[in-house]
Amino acid sequence: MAAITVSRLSKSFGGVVAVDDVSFTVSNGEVVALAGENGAGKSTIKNIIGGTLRPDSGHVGIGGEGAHAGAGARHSGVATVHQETSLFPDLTVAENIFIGHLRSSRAMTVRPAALRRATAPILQRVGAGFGPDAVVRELSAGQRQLVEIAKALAAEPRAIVFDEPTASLNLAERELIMRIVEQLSSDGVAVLYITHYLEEIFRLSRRVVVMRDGRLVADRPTGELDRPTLESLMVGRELAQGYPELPEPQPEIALSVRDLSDDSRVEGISFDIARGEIFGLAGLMGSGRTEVARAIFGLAGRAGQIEVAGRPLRRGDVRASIGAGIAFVTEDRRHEGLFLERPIRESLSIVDLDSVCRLRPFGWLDNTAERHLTRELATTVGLTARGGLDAGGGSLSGGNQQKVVLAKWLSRRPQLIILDEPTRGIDVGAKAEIYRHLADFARAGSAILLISSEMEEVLGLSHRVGVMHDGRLVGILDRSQATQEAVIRLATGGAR
Amino acid sequence: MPSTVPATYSTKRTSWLRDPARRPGWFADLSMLPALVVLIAVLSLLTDGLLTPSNITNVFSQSAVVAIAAIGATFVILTGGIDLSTGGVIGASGVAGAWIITSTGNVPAGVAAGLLTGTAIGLVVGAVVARMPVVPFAVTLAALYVVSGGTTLLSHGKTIAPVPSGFIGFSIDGPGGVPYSVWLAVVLYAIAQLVLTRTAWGRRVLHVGANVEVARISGVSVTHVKTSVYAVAGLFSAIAGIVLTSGLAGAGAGMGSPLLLNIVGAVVLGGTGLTGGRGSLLRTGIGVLFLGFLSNGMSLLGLASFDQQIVTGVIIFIAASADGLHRRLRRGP
Repeated sequence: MAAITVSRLSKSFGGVVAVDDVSFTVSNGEVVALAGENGAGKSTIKNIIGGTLRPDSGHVGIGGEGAHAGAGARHSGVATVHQETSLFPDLTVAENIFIGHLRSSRAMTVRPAALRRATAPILQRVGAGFGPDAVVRELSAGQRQLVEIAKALAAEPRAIVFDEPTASLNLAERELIMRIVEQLSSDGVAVLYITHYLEEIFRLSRRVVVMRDGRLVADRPTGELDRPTLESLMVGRELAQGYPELPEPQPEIALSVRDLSDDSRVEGISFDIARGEIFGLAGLMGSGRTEVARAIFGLAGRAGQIEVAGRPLRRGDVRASIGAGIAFVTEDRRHEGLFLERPIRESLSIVDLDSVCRLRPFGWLDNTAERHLTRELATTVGLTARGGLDAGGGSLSGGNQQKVVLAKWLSRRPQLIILDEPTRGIDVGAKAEIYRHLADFARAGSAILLISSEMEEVLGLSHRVGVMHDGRLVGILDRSQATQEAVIRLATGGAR
Repeated sequence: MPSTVPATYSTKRTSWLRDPARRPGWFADLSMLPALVVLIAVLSLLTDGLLTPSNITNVFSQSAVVAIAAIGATFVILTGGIDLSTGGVIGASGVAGAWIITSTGNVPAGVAAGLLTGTAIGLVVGAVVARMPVVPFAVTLAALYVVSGGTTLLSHGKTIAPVPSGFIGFSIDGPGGVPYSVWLAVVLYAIAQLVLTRTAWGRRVLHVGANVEVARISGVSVTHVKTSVYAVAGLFSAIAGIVLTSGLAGAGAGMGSPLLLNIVGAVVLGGTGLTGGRGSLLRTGIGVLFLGFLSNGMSLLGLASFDQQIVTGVIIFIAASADGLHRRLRRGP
């Protein structure tokens, strides 16, 4: 029986069609993957099924029931596990899970003991290694995702929509999530699974629904598809395979780090990156990779020497770092990367705003120069902004937001580009473009520090790979030595 | 070769009125204009003489002080901050100016002293807000008490008067029968709106309010921006203080205190968000006129002051919720 019936859904935003006449079903106990590039309309479908958006036409049936809208979705038996976790960091796990129905039935008060009792079995079901009283702020990204799933399960849904549940997780955590999905499906829950990781699609799903430009382009049993076919269905063209060819690094040292430690956990980090070299930083979630990046850029206090192009870098001073030619592409684009509610143009020109000013002392903005600069940057990274550059940053898909966060640094021709998880939660097409840009930047002489939890990506793109474990740099592997096994051995604390 | 997908910038040709992405920036700033028009229409039906030139001039000149101070308040609120010290700074600057004017007879020196006083206080407040882990609400509330108390102490609780009649005339005479104070306010609004929308500093003010982390990581000196908006707010409070001194023909420490709620109220009523990053001087100007016409209309109707307060409250609520509903209906993805 069909648990989710999507029939002839259409939705447009301000003249831009996001979803165009899409129909498919998900049966009880079935995992259906929803695939497509960023901006293909997956999120819109998710939001309509989840009841947070109203379709322009068409309807969604849940368990044979009719259309719904708004908060009704939860009561009609669909739950959604979001990509950007929607948890309250300062509340406990139990409070977060039951946030929608905190009040006890008899009184207008929250009863912590009852809440704990109700939470424990759900946490067990997702295999959580933490208790109901843990405060969400203290949990890792993977653990938060488990809370998010537990929250969905608390409503005892007949259908669950997963939106990129593994986007920020390491291998072990990802495996755990996939086991939970498999368990849910064998319990008879209908699962709609949205992901950019094709291997997850092939492992989990029975059918794949592929969307492109708002339309449904394929609805096929997973067994009939192979990877290249699925990719070309998503992108609508043949993808250039694999990773770009890397240019030869130049002899000059662009970044030199000596005995770096930060004010929390990172200690004794030393390495160099040459001009034109891509240096990958691998390690498990929480091994200190991000902390190294933030300490270099000046976002955290540090000890130790850092030199950029031979000149010592001031400590804890972001503006000095930018002045020295460092660019920093944050791992958290929505909160640190671009303005969601200001025009895209402003997020692009912000770093180099002085260059589009006339009458310097007054900082008078030259609108023509700014339009010229931002259009050029947008074109360089292949930005697709359907609403134009004056639309809000929040209107862009994840991949395009990432392109903005990258593009804003480019007009300054940075000596060193630090990228923290540059392809998290973006689609294959956008990923391939970002890879190509990285190789281009290296060719142009920038040194690149690349942090990624996707092992393949680090190995495929880096001249050398540094591996971190527990706040220390435990090894640096040349491209020839850097295999998955070697990196994992170091990252998990094994000997070289 | 790095072939790239060309960026697409617009899909369909629809009227810019219907397409939110293609409307000019200032269009959204007019969201409270319908409410203002309705208010004026209703009041002019209920009263005689609301829309006579002399009464309109009257509304504008009575609004000038609040209007000028609200410029500074807008910049502060756009960064996500709040300045409660405004009332105190108006008093302090007015008293400083009046003191120099009465004791030396030198009006320009008095004005300069007033402006300097307000800007200096704003600079100190801003430096504290920007550099210390205390919320602006607490810092500026503390500043309000210290500045008001200090001004009362130094002025011995007296009104500083008399000031020369030429100085008083600033709030009464002017080209076309419109007082200089009103012309000043209009010019200041035009300048401030241009500074906000067309200069790097204005852009950075909006950016600090929109998302301080994005701004910091992109190289915006958040400390400088925050310090400077409070200094600017101090400057505009000081201008307001001088104009008020001219209007009252003297200055007292407590003269600015009753204005605070109208100043912040005008900013918020215009639709500048208290969380920062969204708003403009155009909005604040409309908010000021809304409050100005409302209070003038009710006086023409002969409402007693308590009745006026109740009606003001109800009408502010209706206007603000109409704006909110309108925004919700228009909201896209």
